[in-house]
Amino acid sequence: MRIGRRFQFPPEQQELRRKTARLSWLSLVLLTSTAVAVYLTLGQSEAMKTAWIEDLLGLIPPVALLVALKVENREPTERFPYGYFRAIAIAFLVISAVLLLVGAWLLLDSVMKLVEGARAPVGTMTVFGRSIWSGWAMIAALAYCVGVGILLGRLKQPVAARLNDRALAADADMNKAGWMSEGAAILGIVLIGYGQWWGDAAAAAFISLNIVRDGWVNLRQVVTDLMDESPTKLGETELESLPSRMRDAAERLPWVEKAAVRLRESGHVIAGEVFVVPRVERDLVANVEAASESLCALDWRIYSVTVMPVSRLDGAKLPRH
Amino acid sequence: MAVLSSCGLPRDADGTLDRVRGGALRVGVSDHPPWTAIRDGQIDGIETRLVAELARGLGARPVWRRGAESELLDALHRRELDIVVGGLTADSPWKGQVAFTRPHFTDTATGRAHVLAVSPGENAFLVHVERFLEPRARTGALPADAAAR
Repeated sequence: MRIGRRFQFPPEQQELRRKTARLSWLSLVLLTSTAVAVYLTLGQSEAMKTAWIEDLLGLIPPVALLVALKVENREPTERFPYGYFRAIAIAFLVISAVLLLVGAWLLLDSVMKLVEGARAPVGTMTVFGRSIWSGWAMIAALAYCVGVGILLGRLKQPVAARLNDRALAADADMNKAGWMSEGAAILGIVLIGYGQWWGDAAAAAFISLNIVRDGWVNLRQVVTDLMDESPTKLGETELESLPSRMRDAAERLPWVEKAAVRLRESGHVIAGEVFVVPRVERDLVANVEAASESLCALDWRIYSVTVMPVSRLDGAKLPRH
Repeated sequence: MAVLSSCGLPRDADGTLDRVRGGALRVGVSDHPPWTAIRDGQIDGIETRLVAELARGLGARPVWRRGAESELLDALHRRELDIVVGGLTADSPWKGQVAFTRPHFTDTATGRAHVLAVSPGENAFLVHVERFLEPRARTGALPADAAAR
């Protein structure tokens, strides 16, 4: 037995993690290009400004993921004997709080513009020596953003599902919310084109709501993580059956009378305790060690299981909520 | 131009361009030589001459209103005027309240971009004014005769 070992991802998951890193780099490159495209055509449209900020905020999750991929699997140290799995959760806590605040601020800003009746001026710009209405350039830049958002979301979703990676799933979700916002911004610009000035601020309000929603979804996800929630399936709130399966597996061991299991999910990995009432106490140490080994093999995500022999177990089941 | 006229976009929120064509162009002028100059009731200057030419092109009769810059820009924001001239530059704090055109003169000495202001949301009118200014746009130091005025 060795405490503070490094968690070994199975080969398939290691490949998926490399894919996650590649997708994050791709996101950074493509989202930077969309941010530049939107910036060049920004003008005085509220919807464009909001779409641009959302685009910039979309750069944060891939960076957090790349950092997490490097940090989370570091060798545990004397100071951090439980390893670095929580690093990602801390990053996401900060990000989701920022998303919530920025989204709320932009929402307030666009609602104020709507109430004031602020009308966005959109004039001409010169593209390749020809002067065109800036609205067309804005729409072209936004259409490019929509394409990038759809592509990134589509690429990330299956990887997140197979890796059971909530951070990547949340990132893919943000890409989806992002391209829907940019679609709304296109509508806003078209409405300006038709002299419907309110379309701009209304589109901006819709985009801000999307940012608030991103923040809220991420915050809920990360808070459950920091609260040591029992494992759940990706994108679902239903608890997994893993703890009860582990209890059944422990109770099937010939030397175990009764067992109780407590598991928690930290980022990608699962850790927890199995309390057992032994039927026989002969070879207890060897039995406990063997049980710890075999129970770890139930699922690839399990990082460590502490098997603890006790004389009796009271209150067999915890309340649902 | 072909793309624009085929779709008829953008349109004005309040139909300024249609109203001005063959009608009255409500112009605010604040004294700021050499761009605008009000002397003994006579209105002159680089920008006022530009606006008079713009009005001629639209078959419109300019209706001049003299006043302080802040008063005129506030009226423009409330859409009581169609266009304001008075040596405005693109870095003016009024940027968010009214619609500035692209520069008609960029001063190489000071780096300042001189613009005209039109009422916000009147984008067909804004595009028309910018297209009018585009071939007339200049870069350089202030014209000597204008500076002397």
